[in-house]
Amino acid sequence: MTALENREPAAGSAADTLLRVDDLHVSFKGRGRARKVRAVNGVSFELGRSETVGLVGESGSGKSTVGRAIMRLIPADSGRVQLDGRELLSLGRSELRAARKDVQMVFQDPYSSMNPAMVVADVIGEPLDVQAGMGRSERNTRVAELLEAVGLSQRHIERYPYEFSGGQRQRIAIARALANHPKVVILDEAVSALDVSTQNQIINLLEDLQAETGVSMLFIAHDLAVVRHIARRTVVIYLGQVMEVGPSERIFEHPAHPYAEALLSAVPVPNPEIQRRRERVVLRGEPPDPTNLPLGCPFVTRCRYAMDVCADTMPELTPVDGGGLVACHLQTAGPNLAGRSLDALGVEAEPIVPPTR
Amino acid sequence: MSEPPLLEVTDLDVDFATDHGWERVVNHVSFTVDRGETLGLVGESGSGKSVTCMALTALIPMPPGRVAGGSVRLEGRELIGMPAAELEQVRGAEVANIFQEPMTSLNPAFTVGEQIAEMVRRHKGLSRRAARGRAVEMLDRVGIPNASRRAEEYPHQFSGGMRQRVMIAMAVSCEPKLLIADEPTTALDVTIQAQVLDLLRDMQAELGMSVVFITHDLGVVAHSCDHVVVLYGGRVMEEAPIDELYFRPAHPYTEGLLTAMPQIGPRAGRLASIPGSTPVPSSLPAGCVFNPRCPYVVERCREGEIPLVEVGPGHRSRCVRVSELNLVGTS
Repeated sequence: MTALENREPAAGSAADTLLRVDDLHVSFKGRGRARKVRAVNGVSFELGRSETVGLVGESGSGKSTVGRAIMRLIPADSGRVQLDGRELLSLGRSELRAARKDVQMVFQDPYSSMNPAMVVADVIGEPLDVQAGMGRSERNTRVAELLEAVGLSQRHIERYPYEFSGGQRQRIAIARALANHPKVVILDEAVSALDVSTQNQIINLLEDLQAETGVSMLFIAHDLAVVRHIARRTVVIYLGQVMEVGPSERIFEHPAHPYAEALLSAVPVPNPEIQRRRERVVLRGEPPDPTNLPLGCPFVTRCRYAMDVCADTMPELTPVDGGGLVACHLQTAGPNLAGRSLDALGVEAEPIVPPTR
Repeated sequence: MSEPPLLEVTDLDVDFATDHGWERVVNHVSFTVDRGETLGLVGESGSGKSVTCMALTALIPMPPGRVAGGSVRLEGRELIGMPAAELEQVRGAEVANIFQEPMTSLNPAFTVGEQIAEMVRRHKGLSRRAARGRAVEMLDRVGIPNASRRAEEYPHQFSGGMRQRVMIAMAVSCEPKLLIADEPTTALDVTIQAQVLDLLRDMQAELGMSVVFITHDLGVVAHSCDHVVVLYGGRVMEEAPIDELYFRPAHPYTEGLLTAMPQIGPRAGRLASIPGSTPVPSSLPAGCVFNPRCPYVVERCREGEIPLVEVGPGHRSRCVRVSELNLVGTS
């Protein structure tokens, strides 16, 4: 992890680090004789104070698993997760309970994470009872305050979750997550199930709440346009490994990793004229079997620039011009982009990259 | 001037039974689909877009639903009220459906080859051997590697993207005139979505099919559609040729949807959003159904039925203020 240690603050890291995930590994046992699935395979990144980091990837990339492992909802095989310098992965039960006050989570489907028999006052108030030991009147004052903060009103306090729309339920879930002033909120596809107009209301709400409370957010999502908007920095993962990390602006405008390039290119643009004339990189094939990953770069089977070296050696994360890190042999071997984005290949003398497969 | 449309939907009404009696979820929806054209049916959840499409081929479960009125004509033949046996012949052979979740339409107990062969035997009267050959050919055409081996596999042995390809192979195996695709790529990863969208477009060009594409994603619409119908609260709010809709929207709701789409380009401050939430059929407001959320609402928006008016060639809008407003499209 030398690349991770010798970087400037502007590269892959946060200026004032709050949460630090280092070389995280998580695996799942296969059913029956199936081999072990390595869902998260050495993921490292940092989240700064009052910062939003986007964690993007497709299904099976391990993005949700990273979130759950940070929360200790599932056990990690190895690695470190430090919150304000405190290691979370080795905490005992009671310490963990206390630490969870600082790290909260919001899921895609808020309804499944609420007790349908509880009224909103209790849904939001429960963490206040359990973790802050508040008395009834103090608790109700705080619940009312939280409801207002998320754009709901006092009159909702005695209603049940089923009486709300999807967007309102997500507001309730956010109010609950913020109840005890956490340092970090992990949002796992928190706006994915919502209609676009409602989705934007929730994103604006999250931005407002962050400005007020200074909470840090790890925003896990597959929707790149949403991440582009909300996250200052983005981590792109594929099959459990970080392909590229850096300032969102740089990654979205000048991706340095072929996977990031293809992912961005695949998103249809809501403008028929642009969509007709833009050149797209349509990836061939599908991700490989997660129980039987390539030895080298996991993206080798679908990469249009794949070289021999990619099949058996995983590239190290190396710095990129404009900030961030990328794990790609194009940067170090082959045409040697040495930190430049893939844009450079367009103006490079041909042949660009002789495909070897 | 031009030949009659392939599909003509006129004043379609669909009701669902609730505790409070019949509730109308699709209200006087009309549109046409020309030969070889892709029509996008766009709307948020609860807009009635999926119910409209299910009604086209009488797939509305009755009860609790009912088609309360209107007409659906395929090449001039009325499909509403058509006897079941006749309808069976239309479905699959002339009109085929694909859905968001292919597992709901594939039988887990038969191999994918058997299921496609069954379709073509039934509708095209092919022999067992010819049907099996056709199944393999179709799987190959939709880009499934080793088609002849994979034809022997069961649906669960395919990935989500491959299953959607199988669905497409099955849907187009009888060369239907019309393909109804209900959110076919919504559950797929974006890199797989790009493959499936391109495949659908290739198959359409190859077979000269018309497509009704139901989606909530305006990016997908921009990629795939020629003409768009925007639904809200079970009503057509706007209908327009693709570029017209994006660059010269004629309904405040369309404007709201277009400006709310987050874009990958440079970050543009705060995201626009439409205030409030989508209405439920039981509590639709009087007048324009969009009026409680509309930034341009005036008194006359709150009463009476709002008519769908022509604002340009093939462009209609259900807004009483359309001629006074200067709406903003995609830039």
